Amino acid sequence: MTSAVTKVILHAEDEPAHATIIRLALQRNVGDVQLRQVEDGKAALDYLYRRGFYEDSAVSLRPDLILLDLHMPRISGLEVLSVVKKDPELQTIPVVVLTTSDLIKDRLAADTCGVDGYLVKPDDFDQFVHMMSELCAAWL
Amino acid sequence: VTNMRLKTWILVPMTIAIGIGLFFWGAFYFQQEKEASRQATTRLVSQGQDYYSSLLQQQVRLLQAHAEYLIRNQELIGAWHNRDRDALLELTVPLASEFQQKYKITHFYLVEPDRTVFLRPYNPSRTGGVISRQTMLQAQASGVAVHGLELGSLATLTLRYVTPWYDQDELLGFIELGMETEHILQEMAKMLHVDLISVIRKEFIRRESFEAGTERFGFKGNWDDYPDMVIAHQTISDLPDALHDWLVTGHDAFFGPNNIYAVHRGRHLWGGIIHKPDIAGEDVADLIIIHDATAQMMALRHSMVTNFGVATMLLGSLLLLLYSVTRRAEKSIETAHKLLEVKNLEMEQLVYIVSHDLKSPLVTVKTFAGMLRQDIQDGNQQQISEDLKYIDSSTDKMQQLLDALLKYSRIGRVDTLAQTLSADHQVQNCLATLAGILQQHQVQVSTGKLPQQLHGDPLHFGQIWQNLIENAVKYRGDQPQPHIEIGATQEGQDVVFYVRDNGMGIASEHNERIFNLFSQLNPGSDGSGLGLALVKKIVTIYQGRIWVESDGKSKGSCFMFTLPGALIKGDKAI
Repeated sequence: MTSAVTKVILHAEDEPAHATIIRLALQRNVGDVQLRQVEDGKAALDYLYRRGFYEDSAVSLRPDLILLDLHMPRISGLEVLSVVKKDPELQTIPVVVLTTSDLIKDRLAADTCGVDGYLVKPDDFDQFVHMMSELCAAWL
Repeated sequence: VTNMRLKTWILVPMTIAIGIGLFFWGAFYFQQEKEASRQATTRLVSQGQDYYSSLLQQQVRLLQAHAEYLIRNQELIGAWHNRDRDALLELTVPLASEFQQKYKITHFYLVEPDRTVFLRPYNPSRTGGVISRQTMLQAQASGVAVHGLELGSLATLTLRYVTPWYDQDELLGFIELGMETEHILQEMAKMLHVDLISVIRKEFIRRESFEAGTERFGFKGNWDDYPDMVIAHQTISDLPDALHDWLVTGHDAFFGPNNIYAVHRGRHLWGGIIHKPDIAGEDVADLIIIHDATAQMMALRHSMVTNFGVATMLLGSLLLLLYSVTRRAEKSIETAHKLLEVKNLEMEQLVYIVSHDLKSPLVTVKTFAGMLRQDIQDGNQQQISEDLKYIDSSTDKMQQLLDALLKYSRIGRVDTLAQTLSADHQVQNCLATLAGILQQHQVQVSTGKLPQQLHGDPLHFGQIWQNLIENAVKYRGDQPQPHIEIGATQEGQDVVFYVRDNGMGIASEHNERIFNLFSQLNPGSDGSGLGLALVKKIVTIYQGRIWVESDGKSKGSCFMFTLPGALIKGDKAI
């Protein structure tokens, strides 16, 4: 299903501006990556299980990395994380949380659910770019 | 809620301490008083001893006066020289009867120098016999007058005065006067207001003497009553058991400073001892003083009961005071504790909101500002307006969030604004305010009976219904005939208000979350995410709770809440 060369990243983010930033940051530095962006946790799960809007498995490619915002409507990033990490099919996919929060509470919760990485959003585009390249280097 | 248990920690030890204190104080007080009573008895006994000695001395002087009168009487000397029995009888018999009647001098002897009795004027028919008593022997040996107590042949203690009788230097013989001492005891008992028991030590008398004396003087005791003692006289009708035991076994204790204390037939008795040594210094007889301290002990008991009662009342009221103080303190601590918990929760939420909701637009603004700078340098016009659009919408969002936060934080109990209005009135006001929206979305509203009087800030109550109704309108979904039902029901003790709609409904897993600040279940829906959090905060202020029931998606939802702190009494039930 997945292309031997092109890696797929699933990004769940409810804030359109942040989604844009991530998209731009990836475009700037990392070449051969397919970015799939969804607007919340519910959509992320629909994508992973190919339900509803994401039925088409040719489009909804299995991601090689999942980027999750924590605070999202309907289903939060933590909930998605725990579903993914409990599913034997999906648990091998690395999941990295990308959030504005640097609260210990959130870090611990994410750790408990088995997160692979925890990143706090910077407030500078260059740092975003740097962060994305490091992220892809580490996990893809 | 942690239970502070101030009451337990303060009142229980206090009560125990006070109880123990009262007990020891009572015991101490009782011992003090008993000791005082014992000392009073000791004083009484020593007073009795002195009194007894002085009475005895008085009698000695009486005997001495009469004896000296006799030895100087020339007529008597003349008659004695001639051993003229008739003349002597004529002179002495009237005197003897006067002695007996006026002075209780019962013994009168005219004795030869060899101690042979020549005449007994009180009993002239009896003649002869030699006197060998200590008093007589000492007078003979010393040649001066001698006096002292002696146990007689009838087991009585007799006071005797023996004087040698001289004419010039010639020893004519001896004159002896004597009296029984029983009447001294009677007088003492009367003077000291005590009972007396006179005992004789058996080693100094013979059984026959005692029995003869019993016949003559009516002694109260029996020879076999006690091993070492026998009772001669007693002014008390029956003896306390403690005294019996004392006489049987421990009479040696008589001769110490000991007093005995006994309760006998409801009387509180103290006992003490006066010794009665005879002329030879032997303790031949003792006098037991029985002091009746019943009135004293009763007064003591009475004052103890009174004092104890007063002390108990005072300490009891102290405990009551403490109880009410600690209860109040406990309540205020509990209230403060609850308030603190609520505030803590709010604080936690605020930290969460700052770290998520407020930081998020900030990240956007700063990042796009950086990109804007780059785009301006590059002259990329299209990208510039794109950047600005993001910056604008993010600052708008921040503005909205900050406004909502301020609005939320301003809600608090403001008692000065408190009014009492009916729930119905509040709901009607809300519906009037929301008439435009309701009509715009063609929402039907039906209201049940709401007669409850609510006391509090009217703006608070208005906001509850307004937010719930707005919520129902907002989440009506694709319902073609949206309908809202407003009412109240009684559930057990509580009046439960409800706002029911037939809109989108809520999946049960979100039932709790929807009341948190800024938690919107639907992406893209407008509003600040503040409404339900606001309602929850208001309801909490009035000690109520809020929850939602829904049969699931598209099945409508029913928001229910209670306001126990706002309900006027009597309206707690419908």
